[in-house]
Amino acid sequence: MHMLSLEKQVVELEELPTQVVREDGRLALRAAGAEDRRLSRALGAFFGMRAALGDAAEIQREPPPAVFRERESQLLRVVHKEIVLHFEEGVSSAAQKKILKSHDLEAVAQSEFTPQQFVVRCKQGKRHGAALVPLANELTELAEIVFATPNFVSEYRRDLHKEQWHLKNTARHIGQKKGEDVQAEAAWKITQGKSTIVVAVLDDGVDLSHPSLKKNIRKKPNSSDAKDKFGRDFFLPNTHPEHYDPSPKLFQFPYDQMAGNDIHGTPCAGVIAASGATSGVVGIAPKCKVLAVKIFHADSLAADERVADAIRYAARYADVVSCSWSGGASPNVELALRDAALTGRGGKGTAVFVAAGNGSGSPVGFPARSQFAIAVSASTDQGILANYSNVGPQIWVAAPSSGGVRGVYTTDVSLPNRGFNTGNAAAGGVDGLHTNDFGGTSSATPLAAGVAALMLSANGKLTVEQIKTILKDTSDRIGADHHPQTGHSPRFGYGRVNAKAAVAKAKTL
Amino acid sequence: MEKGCIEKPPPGEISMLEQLKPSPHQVVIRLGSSRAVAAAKLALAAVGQVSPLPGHPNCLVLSTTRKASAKPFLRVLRTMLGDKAQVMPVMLDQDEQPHYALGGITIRFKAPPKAKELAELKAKFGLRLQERNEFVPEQASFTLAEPSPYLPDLLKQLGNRKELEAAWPETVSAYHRT
Repeated sequence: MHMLSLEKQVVELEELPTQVVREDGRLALRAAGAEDRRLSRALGAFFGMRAALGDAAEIQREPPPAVFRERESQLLRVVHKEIVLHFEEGVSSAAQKKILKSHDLEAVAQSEFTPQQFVVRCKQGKRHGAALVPLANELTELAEIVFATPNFVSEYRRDLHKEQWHLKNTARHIGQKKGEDVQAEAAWKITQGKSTIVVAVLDDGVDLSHPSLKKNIRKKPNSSDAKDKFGRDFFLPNTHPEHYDPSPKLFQFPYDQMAGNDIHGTPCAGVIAASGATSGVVGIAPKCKVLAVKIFHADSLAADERVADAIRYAARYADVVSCSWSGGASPNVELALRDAALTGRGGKGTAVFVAAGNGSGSPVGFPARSQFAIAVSASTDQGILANYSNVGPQIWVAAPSSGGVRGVYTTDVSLPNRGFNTGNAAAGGVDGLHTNDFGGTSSATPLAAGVAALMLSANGKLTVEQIKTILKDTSDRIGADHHPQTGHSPRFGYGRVNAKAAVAKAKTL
Repeated sequence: MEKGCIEKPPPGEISMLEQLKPSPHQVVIRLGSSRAVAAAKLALAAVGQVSPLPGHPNCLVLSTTRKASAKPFLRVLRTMLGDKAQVMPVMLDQDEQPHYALGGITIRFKAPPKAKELAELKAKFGLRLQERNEFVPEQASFTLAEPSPYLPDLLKQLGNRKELEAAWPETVSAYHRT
């Protein structure tokens, strides 16, 4: 099926099988291959279908809206009973009525701003849903009509923030290389993530009230623990009054330095799942959720036992775990990684992504070097290895980060005068909500973890081994040192993560 | 199996675990009160350099040129500080990163431990159950008897017991946000 644009160009539409169902006392719209909460809400929000008329028989009588996916953009378009029709200037009212009558149409509204434009519908609702598309095309071909189009309720995609080169590198800055990114936009044509897929961020806390994160914070992860509303702070004992608050807590002057400040976890969370509510800054999986798990109070020594238990907690309540840190080797932490890999997600395994470390070519740190972790190195916006990145046989994949022309633009602690950017336009904006200079393997790791979240959104049945295999098979072999047989490179692992290819492959399994 | 793929180790196989070894020149001393800490600082000044363990006000770290991991040296320190002081070597991982023992140990059993096994550990090694792990029924933490045994010996003895998968000291260490 197709519709005609203003220039009479063909716009291909793929109709998706659609169903109206009752859900929690409301009517919800379901379309195959478009599991989107906004879509299910469209019935009540736009088409006036309420649960009050929702017994089974009435649902049958009321024609369902038709749902299309526009082939080129992959955006969803939904139409129910109306067409928008714009007459040429000078077409008289009588001529307009004649045209409407000849097509059994009646005007239901006139544009407030353009008197020649009307919303029309077929009398007695004879033609509706998908049938309105050819009817609109037929009207568009008339000399008296500028355009006629189904009155779509549509999905809109906000443009990426222009500085988020790690998602789409357009070589905006001198020295950057176009396409040296993670191929996010192409992946999003398949999925932008599902709210049921959760990525745990184990770090120094996540700003739960950040305007671009709060919507995507996993709430009540453990339904049997009423105190567990937003995650936990494992640095503090379970009995501590602030144990159930995983927010950043420790700040000391100078507030824009990592030393002494809990400002590291919030940018990591943004790389995964910033919603785009502020400045259009989005994470790689903007519809997935983040589980905040605090394990550090800035640089204080941390109990290995508590770090290990935080991993176990995360593996129980999240699908993917992101660890942008390294530490001393601990048998307990390694056993916790094993527990996650073998028992997480009901035995399918929870994928734990761990930063390789920033030792400038040093061996891969712990716990990234564990066989139960997925070690991530960092590439730059020029498509080369970041010079700070650690290297070694344990590297599984690389992901874009700082070290080239620009750092990574992501969320920052929103408290006034706290965070990497304390309110400086040159550091990411005067509102202080973002930083434009996040980086290290700390930024590469949540990016790779977020890609895994997209993969699981496309196919929730994947095991952790399958996730690793897909990443191995689909990552871009940047660099010249990949082994000719195994494809492995000690610098990039099996290559730089390609979200589009990984998600597409995940969907086929 | 390809390197990096996940395979469940066979029962009893713990070779994957990162090993900790005692530091030759550093010990952690845990004391019962701030008064004891002040007295220990004075007493130990002649033995080596004494520094606080950040975040743990009742613990001191002693750095010395003597062989601190040797049992006789630890015995001397305990005599000096009294039986209430726990004296434990700082543990080092393969990257020589220090892990500061806090006086407890964690044991991973092959199956969730029964009361009989716990009683046996108490009788034989003086280990008192502190708490079972919140997430893993096979794991539990224990406090040590007083006077505390030589930690490396205790861990070695526990490692030889067939019902246990692994045992390690409870430690704090430095983590680096990358």
